[in-house]
Amino acid sequence: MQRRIRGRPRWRLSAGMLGVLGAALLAVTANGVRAAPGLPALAPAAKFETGAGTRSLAEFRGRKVMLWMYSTWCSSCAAGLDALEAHQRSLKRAGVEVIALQNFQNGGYPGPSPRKFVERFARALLAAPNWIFGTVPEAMAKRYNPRRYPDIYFLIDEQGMVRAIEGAPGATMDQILRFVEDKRG
Amino acid sequence: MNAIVTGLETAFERRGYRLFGVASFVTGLALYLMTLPSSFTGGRVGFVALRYLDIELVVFSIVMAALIAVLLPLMAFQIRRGRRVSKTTAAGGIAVGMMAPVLCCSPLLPLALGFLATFFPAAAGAVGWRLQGFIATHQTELFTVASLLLAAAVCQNARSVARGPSCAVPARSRVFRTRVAASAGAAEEYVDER
Repeated sequence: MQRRIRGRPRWRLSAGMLGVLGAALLAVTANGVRAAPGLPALAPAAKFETGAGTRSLAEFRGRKVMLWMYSTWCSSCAAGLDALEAHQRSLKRAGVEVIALQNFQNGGYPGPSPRKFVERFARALLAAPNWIFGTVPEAMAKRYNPRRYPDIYFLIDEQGMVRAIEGAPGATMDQILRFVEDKRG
Repeated sequence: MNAIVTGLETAFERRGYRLFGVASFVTGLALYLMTLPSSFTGGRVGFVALRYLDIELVVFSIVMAALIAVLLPLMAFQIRRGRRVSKTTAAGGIAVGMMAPVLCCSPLLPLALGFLATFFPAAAGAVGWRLQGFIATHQTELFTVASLLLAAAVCQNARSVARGPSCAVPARSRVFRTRVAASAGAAEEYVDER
C-alpha cells in the first residue's frame, strides 16, 4: 500500500515531463526552426565550385535564385530533389535559377557522390539549363550554413535579397511556388 | 512464454482494457504514420508527412502501434493495482521510434549541437555532426531496435501481471537477511517441537 502511495506521483511526474517534452518537440518541428525574422536581407557575397570552375552568386543578380545546400545522405534532400523535378517546368518558365550545392564535407557524413545522388532521384535535372550543380566551399558554409543544416535553401529575388530561408523543398513546395509566381520578386 | 500469455489473458480479460487497447492502437497508428516519414519533411510531423509513406514505414507504424496497444493496457492494469511498472524499456522504445525520424534532416540536432558546442566544442564538433548522418542512414535498424524494445517491454509487463502481487521481503542487508533466516529457522524448530 505504501509503495502505491509513493509510486503514483513519480509515474505522473514522468508522464507529465514526457508529455511536455513531446508537445515542445511537436511545436518546434511543426513551425520550423529556420524561420528568420530579419528577412528580406541582402544575400551575402559567396563563391562556390562547379564542374566548370568557381562561380559567384553576384553573377545571378537580376534573376530569381533558389540556392539549395544539400547532403547526399539526407532523406529530405532526396525527397526535395524529386519534388523539384516534378515542378521543374514552373521553375524554368519563371526563369528561376536553381543552384544546388553539396554541403561542405557533405554535412559531416559520407554519402554517394552528388552525380550519383541526382542520377538516382532526378536524372532529368542534370541536363536542365536552369540548374547549376556544385559544392559549397568552407568560406561559403561558414557564411550561409554555420550550423551545418543538412538541408537548407535560400530564395533570393532579382535584387539579391533573401526572401525566405527554409529546408526540405518537398515539404515546403508551396512556399517555393509562391516565390516563383511572385511577380514583384 | 506461458507467463506472457497468462499475463496478457489476465489483463485483457476485462472489456475496459480491450477497449483501451483498441484506442491506443488507433492513436498510436495515427501518431506513427505522421511521425515516421518526418525524415523526408525535415522533421515536420503531421499530414504533410503522410505522402512520404512507403510499405516499410507503414509496416513499422502498424507493428509499433500494435505493441503500444498491448503495452499501455498492461501498464494501466498494473498501475491500477498499485504494482511496479517496467517503464524504462517502454520509454526507450517509444523515444527511439519517435525521435529518430524527427532528428534526421531537421534543424533540431544542429541547434542542440550548436548549443552544446558552446560548452564542449571538441565533442560537438568531432562526434555530434556525424550523429544526424548516422540516424539518416540507419533508420530501418533504429526502427527495428525501437520495435524490439517495445516487444521486450510487453514481455516484462506481461510477466509481471502473470506473477501477480508480490509479497517478497526485500533483502536489504546481510544482517537483515540473517535475522529473517533466523526467524524462519526458529519457526521451523517451533513447528518440529510441536
